[in-house]
Amino acid sequence: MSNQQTLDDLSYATALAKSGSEAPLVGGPIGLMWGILLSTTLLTHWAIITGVLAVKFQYLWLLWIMFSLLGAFGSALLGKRIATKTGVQSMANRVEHAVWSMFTLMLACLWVGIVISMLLGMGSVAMFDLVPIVGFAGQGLAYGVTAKISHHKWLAWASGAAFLACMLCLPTFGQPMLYLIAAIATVFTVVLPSLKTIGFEHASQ
Amino acid sequence: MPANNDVQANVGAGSVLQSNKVQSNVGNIDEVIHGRLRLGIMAYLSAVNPASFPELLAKTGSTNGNLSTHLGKLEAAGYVRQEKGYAGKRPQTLVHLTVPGRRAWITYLEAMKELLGS
Repeated sequence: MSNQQTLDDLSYATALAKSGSEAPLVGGPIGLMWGILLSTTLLTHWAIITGVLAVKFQYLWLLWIMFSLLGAFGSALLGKRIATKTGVQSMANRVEHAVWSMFTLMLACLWVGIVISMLLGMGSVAMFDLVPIVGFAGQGLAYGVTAKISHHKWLAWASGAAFLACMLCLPTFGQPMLYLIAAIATVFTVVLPSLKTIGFEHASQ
Repeated sequence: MPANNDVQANVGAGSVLQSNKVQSNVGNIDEVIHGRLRLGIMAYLSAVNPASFPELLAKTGSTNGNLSTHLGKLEAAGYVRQEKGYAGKRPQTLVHLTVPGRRAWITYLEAMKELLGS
């Protein structure tokens, strides 16, 4: 094997290694689905508790159960499609998947804990206001970690936006306004970053 | 100042040493990895692990048969592991870079670096 041939083969291997390490994030469609679903649910929640929608408060349970079921179904459906995408097992994609799975688990634990408190008669409905606040903090963390691994600057901006949303929501704890702010903030912290991720993925194909 | 003959003798000895070093480095090159396609497979798997068979096919620009043959050689050396399963209802082969495979890949890169630097 001549030197030139060896160098050509090494360049070919380098290009392949680079294409793998720079594989785009593939979780955009799942993020977009959750973003639209969450923003709509938060807005509906706000509309119900302020009386804009003439629906009984008891239906809030149904609203959030529907949110969870639709989200889980959508994730499973989109997850199947994503699983066959090129670069799905790159470091950035594995980190993104792990960090968002842990985020979901964290919010689920918080939600179950609140429900248990309520069932034991030790909590109040206002405790549910913690979920969007902690959710934004978790989003900030998840985006921050993914931005560091994937070197995508817009994810660092999304992380900052989510932390800002957490700070803005906290003063409205216990007030209906919290849900309106959270619904609007979700567009900036989930919907737009997901669209950007999808755009980047398509551009790199 | 050394005489011309001494200089020539030193240069000659240097060349022999250099040549021996190159031969020794060449001996360190792992022949299982040192083929264009196998090199490409190892490089891609070092960044994306596991990768599906169609993914490797697309990335390396190889043919089905050629890729299978070379994956077989890497698997026989214990550098990759092929896992046959299903993605939904479709059959899917995932190719994993094994721990010895990653170690061999790093050793190979170091040997190449030494060889090209010598």
